[in-house]
Amino acid sequence: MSTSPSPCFPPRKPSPGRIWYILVQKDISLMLFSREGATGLVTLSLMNATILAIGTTSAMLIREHILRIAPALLVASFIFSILTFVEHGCAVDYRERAIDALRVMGIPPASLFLAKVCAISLFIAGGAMVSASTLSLLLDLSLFKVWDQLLVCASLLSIGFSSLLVLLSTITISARLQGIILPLLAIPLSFPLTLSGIELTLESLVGGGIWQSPWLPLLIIADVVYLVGGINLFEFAVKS
Amino acid sequence: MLGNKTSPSLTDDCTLISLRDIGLKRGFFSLSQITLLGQRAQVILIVGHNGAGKTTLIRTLAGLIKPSIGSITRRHRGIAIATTDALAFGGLTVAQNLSLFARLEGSPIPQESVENWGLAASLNSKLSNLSRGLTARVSLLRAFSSSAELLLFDEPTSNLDDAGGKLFADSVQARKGLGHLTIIATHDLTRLLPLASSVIVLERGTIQHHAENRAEIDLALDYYHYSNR
Repeated sequence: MSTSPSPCFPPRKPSPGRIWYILVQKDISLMLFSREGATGLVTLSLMNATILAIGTTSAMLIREHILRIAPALLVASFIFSILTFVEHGCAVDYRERAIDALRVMGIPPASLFLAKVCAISLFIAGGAMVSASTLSLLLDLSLFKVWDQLLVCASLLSIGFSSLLVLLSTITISARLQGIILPLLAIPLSFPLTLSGIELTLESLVGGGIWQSPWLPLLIIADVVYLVGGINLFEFAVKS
Repeated sequence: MLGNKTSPSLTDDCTLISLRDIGLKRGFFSLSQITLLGQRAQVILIVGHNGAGKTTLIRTLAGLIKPSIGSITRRHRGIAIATTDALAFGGLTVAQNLSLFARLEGSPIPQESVENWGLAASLNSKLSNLSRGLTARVSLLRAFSSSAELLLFDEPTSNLDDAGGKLFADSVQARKGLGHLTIIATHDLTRLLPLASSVIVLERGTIQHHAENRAEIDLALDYYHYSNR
């Protein structure tokens, strides 16, 4: 009744691309079926957007002003909604030391990081769309006329924020006050993302579109910096 | 100090892992002057009191902790580890966990072994909803399903019933037959001592005894039991 002996020939190791794909599937499953995961993200996105919209309409601002502050509301709602989600998305790997089993198998930390960033980006881009739809509905904004530009903004913001937050969450994973330390570290470090996100959304709503905006290259550069930084530093964050 | 033997040479083809004068400090735990050779078809038991450094040594052997001094030479293909933590994802089902690790290794999902380990009925349950005993079985099945030549276990039988303990012993024996090296940190000498090729007694992070034959093992265990009083 012993476990089947392992094959005489070693199994063929999957390619790095295949490993990444398996890890992304794992991360999506973990986030999709947990209460603090996708459900929590959608609930928070809806709730934050609704609170911000109600606050704005009760201030009885004129439409022009609402259009001006809508991008900031959208980005604020996005940030408030994703922090807990990313924290949870990273913590699942450390419960029961599951990540140790992956490390012992020789899975490269860069693959772990990229898979996590990819899965989290997909979810938080979805969360951004929920926030945008809610604000669009409650503030009577015609966001869907510029959906393609908003989609690009949301995707770039999601990649940047998830790269930064996955790294910071991993660094602070064993901190007792992670809930406080993570936002304290993330808010100043995400300043280039936040600012360019607001400006690009504003350009798409009331300006001449995002394609000529100088904020687009800045957002792309910030994404690349956080992504490359994360790939290189994740190994040390995991080991520590 | 008896033993602490390092008789086989480092160039021996049978040697899968060798540790030479390993030392590290990690919080309250430290290891010093650990020298150990692990060879094919060996089962090495590591015994010692709580806090002796067994888990730290297992994690060092797994490569999860880097020693601050000394050297580790590896000639094994792959490592599989099971500890008192599940080392699996609580948010996934048993089937998803087994499939994940099998796919990452490029090996087939161990259908037959799932039934042998009594996990067929729990395949669709989330790992976090299982009892400690069933979680331990999942963790052990994950380790034994791997084709790794070095198997590391930390307190593998602590949550297992008698049938689970026997299953574990049979699986270790099967891997020994394949020429794989198994290193087990344990307090469960009744079940695991018959499997042992050698026994290491750890105390305060150093090897007090390394016994490699029956007489030496008896002597080392006498020392261990005496110091345990």
